[in-house]
Amino acid sequence: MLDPAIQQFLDERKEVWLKKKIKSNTSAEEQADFERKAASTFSLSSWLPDAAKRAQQLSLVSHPGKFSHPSAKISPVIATAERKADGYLRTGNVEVGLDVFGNAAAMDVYKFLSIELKDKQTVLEHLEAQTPEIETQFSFPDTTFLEISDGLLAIKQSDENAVKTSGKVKQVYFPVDDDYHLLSILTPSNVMYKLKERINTLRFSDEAKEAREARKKNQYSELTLSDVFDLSVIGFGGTKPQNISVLNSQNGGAAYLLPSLPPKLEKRKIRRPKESFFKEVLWAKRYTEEFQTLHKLLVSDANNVHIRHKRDSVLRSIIYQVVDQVWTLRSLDAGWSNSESCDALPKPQKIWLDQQYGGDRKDDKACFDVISFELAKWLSKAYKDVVTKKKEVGLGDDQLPHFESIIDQCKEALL
Amino acid sequence: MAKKENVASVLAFEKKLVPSDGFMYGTTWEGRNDTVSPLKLKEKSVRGTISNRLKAAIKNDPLKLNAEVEKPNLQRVDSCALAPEQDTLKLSFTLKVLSGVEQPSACNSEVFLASYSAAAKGYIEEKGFTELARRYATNIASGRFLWRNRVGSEKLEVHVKVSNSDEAWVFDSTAFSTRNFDASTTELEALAAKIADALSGKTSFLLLEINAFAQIGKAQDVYPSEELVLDKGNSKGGKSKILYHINDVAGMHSQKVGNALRTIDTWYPDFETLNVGPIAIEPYGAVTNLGKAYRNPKVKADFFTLFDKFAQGEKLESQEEEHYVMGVLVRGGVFGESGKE
Amino acid sequence: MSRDFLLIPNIRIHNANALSSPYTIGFPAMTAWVGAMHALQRHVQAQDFEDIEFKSMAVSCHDFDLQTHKGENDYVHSIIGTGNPLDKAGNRPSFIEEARIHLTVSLLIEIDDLGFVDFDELRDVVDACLQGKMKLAGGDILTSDWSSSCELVTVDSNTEERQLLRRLMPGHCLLERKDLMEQSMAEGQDGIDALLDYLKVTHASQQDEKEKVTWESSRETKGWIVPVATGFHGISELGQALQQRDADTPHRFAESIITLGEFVMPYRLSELDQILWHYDVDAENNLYLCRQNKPTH
Repeated sequence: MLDPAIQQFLDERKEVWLKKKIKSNTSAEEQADFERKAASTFSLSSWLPDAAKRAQQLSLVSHPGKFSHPSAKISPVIATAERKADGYLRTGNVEVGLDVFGNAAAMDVYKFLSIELKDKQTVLEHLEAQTPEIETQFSFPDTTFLEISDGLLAIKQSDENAVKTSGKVKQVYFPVDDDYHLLSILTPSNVMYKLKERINTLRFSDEAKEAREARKKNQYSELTLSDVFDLSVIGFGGTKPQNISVLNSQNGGAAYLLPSLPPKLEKRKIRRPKESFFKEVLWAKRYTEEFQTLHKLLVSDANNVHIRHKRDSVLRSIIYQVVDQVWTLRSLDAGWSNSESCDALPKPQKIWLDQQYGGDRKDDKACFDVISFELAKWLSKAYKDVVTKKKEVGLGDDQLPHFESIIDQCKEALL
Repeated sequence: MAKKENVASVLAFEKKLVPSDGFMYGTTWEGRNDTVSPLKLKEKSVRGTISNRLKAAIKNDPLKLNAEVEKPNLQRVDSCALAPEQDTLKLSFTLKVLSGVEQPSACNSEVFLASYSAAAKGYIEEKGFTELARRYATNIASGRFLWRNRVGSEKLEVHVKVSNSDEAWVFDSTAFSTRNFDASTTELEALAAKIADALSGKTSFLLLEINAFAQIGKAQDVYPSEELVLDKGNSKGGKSKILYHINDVAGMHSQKVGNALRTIDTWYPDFETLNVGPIAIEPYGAVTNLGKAYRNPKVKADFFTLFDKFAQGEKLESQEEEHYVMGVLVRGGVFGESGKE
Repeated sequence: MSRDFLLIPNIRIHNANALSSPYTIGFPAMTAWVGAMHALQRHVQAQDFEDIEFKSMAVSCHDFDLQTHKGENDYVHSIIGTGNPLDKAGNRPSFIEEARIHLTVSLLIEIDDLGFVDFDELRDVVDACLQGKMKLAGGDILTSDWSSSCELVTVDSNTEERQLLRRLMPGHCLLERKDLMEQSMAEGQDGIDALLDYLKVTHASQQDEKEKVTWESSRETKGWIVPVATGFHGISELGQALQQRDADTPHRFAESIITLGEFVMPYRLSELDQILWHYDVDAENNLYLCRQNKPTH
């Protein structure tokens, strides 16, 4: 008994064929003729042996060469690798199917091999396992199962024995011990397009749509909404993505690229101080979270190494964020502090912040002393402002020497 | 036909003329050596008029034509112009000239490598790159790299300085034609000699600082490179022209500068009759804006045909063919057997 | 123990390869940088410094300009292409998109056992290589002045290490954060989900007593976390292939692999080994990697 999925596949093909043949002016006689012909062509016993012959025009691969260059011709590669929690995105660490390329006229064979039978296994999987179920279905008077099976499985075999790479594929020398391995770098189209699918699910799933709607109206929702920003799109194959591979064609020849860039110093947003860096550029509220954590640690009764360590690391993290601002100012055109509007800015701050003094800064002990004292004062004041609603006398001031000692430890970072 | 083992299926050359991007500044002719200011791009909306060829059905129906012409054709474009008080464009770039043309960056046939290297060394010894260098120098002196910005300029000057040295020249570009390479001055020959020495390895390396000045008139438009955006955004109302800038300074792509510098090929078939002038050195003599290739393999004038002979040690028919082959190698590219398609 | 470093400051690179893997665009792959160190070593060795060996290297990225474009209403960026040469018929061939980035970087290269060499001579050789012979990450090296001439820095103490780290400022260096992905994968995530979890921004809503709704956005972890290409994964047997670049080297097909990384300003770090990377081959798992000398976490 033919699997219903296979029957359906053949029926669909037959209908498409008939639709093309039978026009409104086709006579009843001709129509009957076409139908007879279709019934024979799209019966398994005649369609399948023909398909088995055409399967070799296709290649089932995991890493199609044409993603490297549209005219790169290489041996078909089907990679398999073990799954491991090794922290890498690579073949083996994502479950994906195979891609296929070859003569477009033979793509129906690929579709046929991808049909899922009743047991959820594909025709191809059945063939590879040579299951009795598939053998019974694919046995015909004129053609043996073996002929059919060998023919179809040619989709996974190369007709040439020699391995072939191409001058159009990037070939990289990698040092191994005292010698090299030469690596031809290919694209796992299946993993690449799986990434696209996952990102699109994040963005366009029904849940995402519902959450987006709620967010737009600022309504509460139990759902969350995720997004990946600053994606780029890369195209393969131009207006003919089908020339690259089937997966490529299904994806309209476009894949997503994730951004992999350092942050940019935000030169345009930073304010150039006119009188005081500490008053004009630093904003205590920005560090609320850190100061609150610090406060909890400072008032905690426990006083062990662990707590002290944690406390110092929170302080350092605040200082580092301040230094990030310093470096943004230093990345402005050297000499910006010469402008008249900066006349009131104390000289040590100018030396600290303007890159025209970059050369002398590290040997200027007096400058560092002034800056570290000012910074300690700012830290204690900001701390006080953030964590206390009422002005508690002494709070913050007590910490001044401690703040100074941490600043001193960060000297290299501050200069 | 060459024997199989004598053929390199993987063969690549790095370019030997390496220009930087060109940076565009505005200045005045009188003050050109003193004060310049970076030119910025401006975005503007233009209301275009219908100037494309219309379908006959519209063209021949006055009502439809009117309606069509009155459709607002709003476009947003980048533009760039001199300030009202400026009349001169300054274009600055550097050019690195390297040696080592006899050494491919990748080659997988030792037999081929040996015969090619010998042929290349022979050329260097015999010709010393003097003809190519003179042509490159002329393209620097003439300011060909200004492209459209050169057109209609009243005065035109190119300053060339050898980096880390006192050697420098000033060229009056109007004295050099862009149609031929006949002009010769002491300065030009001196610059050409420098380039030839670097290409042939007599000196290891040459870095030129090049500043061109074109007096084009107050507040006139200038033409930075246009960006080729492989648009995937699909949004409506996007910009229809995007110009190149480097950190907010209007710029000319290094590729475009390089293309002008290697526009030295006057040796292609039908040069005399076609009246196209010199074309850029390319494997098939392709000229992008004309959409044509002037060195067709059918008449055996293309690089691959000539190079196969040259690299096997065969004598080419003329020294012009040798110059052309070496010109393509200076340009660089992937020329392996599998790269011919 | 004293260590010797070659510091090459402020190199401007034009049109470097920004397509670091089939999944990422931006900063060139770590393999490209460590590869440049190795290429430089080969050049230097060929110029009478046979015994010089470069052990590991760091890149500090001072500035970058990725050649992509995003229209006002676009969700994604598009790559800005370069015109490919026309073919023999004068047509534009169907081309592969090449992503490019302009960069200004400083390189720090650790020299193994410097011994007694004439450093002035070594410096001249390195400078000449960078100016005349080498490309970096597929891009052209531009030098308009000689301020990027290299220098030798010897480090004897942690204070000196920190001083050297500071000389890489202002810039960002890459730390490997494979630990984040390993953890997620150990908990059962596959490679893609483990990656995306740290890259996505999640918006969630809260409602207070007065029914005031606030939507807040957050990321899984602090720090500037990005996907980075750090090596290759061999996917076929080692052997010979037709049309390989040279017939004497064992060949195999491979794919780029990525993991997570974090860009930090080097002044925040205390040890050079946190930003120095080296080659590391894991033959058993067919992995050709670049690894940090000392993992951060």
